Amino acid sequence: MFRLRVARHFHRNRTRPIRFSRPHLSIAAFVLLCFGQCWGTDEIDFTNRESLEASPSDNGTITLQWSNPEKLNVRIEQAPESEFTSSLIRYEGKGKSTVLSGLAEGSHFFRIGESDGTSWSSPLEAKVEFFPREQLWLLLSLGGVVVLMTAGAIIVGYFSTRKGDES
Amino acid sequence: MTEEVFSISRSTGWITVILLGIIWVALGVYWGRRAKNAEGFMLAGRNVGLSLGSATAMATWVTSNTTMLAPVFALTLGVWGMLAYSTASFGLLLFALFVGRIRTLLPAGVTAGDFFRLRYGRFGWSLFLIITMLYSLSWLVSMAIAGGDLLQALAGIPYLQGMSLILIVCVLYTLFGGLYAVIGTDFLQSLIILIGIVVIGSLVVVKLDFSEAYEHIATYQPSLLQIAMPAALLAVFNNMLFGFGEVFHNNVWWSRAFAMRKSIAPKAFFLSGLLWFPIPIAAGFIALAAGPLGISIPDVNQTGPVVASSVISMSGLGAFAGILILIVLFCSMASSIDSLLAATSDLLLEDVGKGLFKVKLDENHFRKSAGVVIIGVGVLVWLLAFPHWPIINALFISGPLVGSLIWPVIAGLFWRKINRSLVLSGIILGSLLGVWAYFALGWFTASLIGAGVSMVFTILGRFIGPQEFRAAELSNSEN
Repeated sequence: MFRLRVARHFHRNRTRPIRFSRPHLSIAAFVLLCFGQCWGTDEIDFTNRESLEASPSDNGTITLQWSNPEKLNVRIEQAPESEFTSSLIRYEGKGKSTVLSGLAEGSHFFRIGESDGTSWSSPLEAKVEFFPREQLWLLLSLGGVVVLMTAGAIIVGYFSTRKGDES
Repeated sequence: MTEEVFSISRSTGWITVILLGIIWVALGVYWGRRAKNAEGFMLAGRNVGLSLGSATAMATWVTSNTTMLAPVFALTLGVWGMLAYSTASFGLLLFALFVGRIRTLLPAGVTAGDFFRLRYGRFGWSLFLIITMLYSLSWLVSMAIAGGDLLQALAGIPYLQGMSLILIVCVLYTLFGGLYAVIGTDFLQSLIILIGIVVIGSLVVVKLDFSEAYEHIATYQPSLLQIAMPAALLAVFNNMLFGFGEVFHNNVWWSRAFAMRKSIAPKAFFLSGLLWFPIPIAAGFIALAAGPLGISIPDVNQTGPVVASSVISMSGLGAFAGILILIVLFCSMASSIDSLLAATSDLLLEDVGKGLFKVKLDENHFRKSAGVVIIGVGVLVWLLAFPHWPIINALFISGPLVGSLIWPVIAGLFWRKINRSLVLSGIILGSLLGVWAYFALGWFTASLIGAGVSMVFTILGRFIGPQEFRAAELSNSEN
């Protein structure tokens, strides 16, 4: 109902410019400043944001850390885009860190706020970049060869020296 | 996902650890009375039987790295991660094929250093000592760190106090009992570890709905189900080769090979490998259940204790949960710290003291010198654990170094001819390139590169300018 009245008011007066007197502006600025400062100090944010955004994870595991001196009930959400149109809740509790593993390759966005969902931090972008596939197959082939040759050398060595050792 | 962290009170934690410490130290003193001379103290009289032999090998290999890192592998690398950790048991299985040969070539051998000295000369021996000391210290430090982390996670005991407490207990009973105490306590500790893991694993199975768990992981942790996850696949070979390198070269295993009766030693190592194989899978499975059970993990290094204590407390076992986890993990750490303390001290006394510096130790002064060395190693480990390095870094940085010793050990045991210079060049180059790979490509490639490079050089050493290997050199090792 309130929204409807406001809409009607703006609709009726849309051609008339809104005028504010100087005292009004000063009061508004003061109020904004106060609230702004309050929001600035109370807003929960990730403390390892810089390191997470700077270096991608090579195995899909990240540790999110935040400061929570007042032991507030916080919530962390994850989304594939920074607008968080479709998000998953990844943490709810009073802790100060959580490990998230098994993230798929690509970018993941996280935000943190009080669990009532009224205010959120700015999105944190964490990237997952797996080991390059071309090098992977090369190293896997090398691994297979080294392991098979090692086991083979031991088994052949064992059987070729066993009789002598027993005697 | 909600936070579900359970912990016991600090006083309960202190009482539990102090009681365990008193028990282990008392047993150490009791068993240590059997050690009448240096050989008794260092090698338990060379008369260890099958049950004690397999239990000590298994318990030593169930380290804090198994109970603490296997869950980390599962949590970060999924099913492949669990299997990757389990492949370390192949090292024990293959070492069973070495034991008979070791006892034939070195009938009076005391340390792994004896083998390297006689097979690869003074330079090769020094190289081995540098690598094995770096590795042993990093293993010891990683376990001391894990001990501190464990007590902090479960009981809120500050890291430094917890780490110091575990080290002091292990130093004390190794000091009094030597290898007799280490093997005896290992036997009891292996039983406790097995029972604990079975109990915790069963509780997880009861609590978990497998279809829901699968759906949860597919939604929230899709990479854990990915077959071609690069880090996980590479971890399989890397961990297997790391395990080979650890077991094949380290004096912990060689001292056990010398301590067991020759006829049972291969069976004991084979049995210990079989018994060890499922342990990382069970420990890792617990961590995989964390997400589906709604357990939040605050620090990746505390995955095991946090998940296990949460699961047990969910099952209504209350404070008993934390105590059980504490006992199991404390045993897993103690069983490895004591073995490493004993084996590293033997190396320092025999190879560095007697071998390099020509210090003469008679029977009367042996125990005193052994005591000084054990305490010295304990203090050094404490100093290195003080900065609280991340466990996985402390552990895997030594992977390429030990990986580069795999082939020199195989060649030294089974081949008749070898070009020493090429083999030693392979060890150096393999170690350097492996460490480079650790930083440039990722930890999951380091041991593979180290072992691969060393393998190529060792094989070349068999065909290019090989020198005759005389078995008599090794047989006379006591001289």
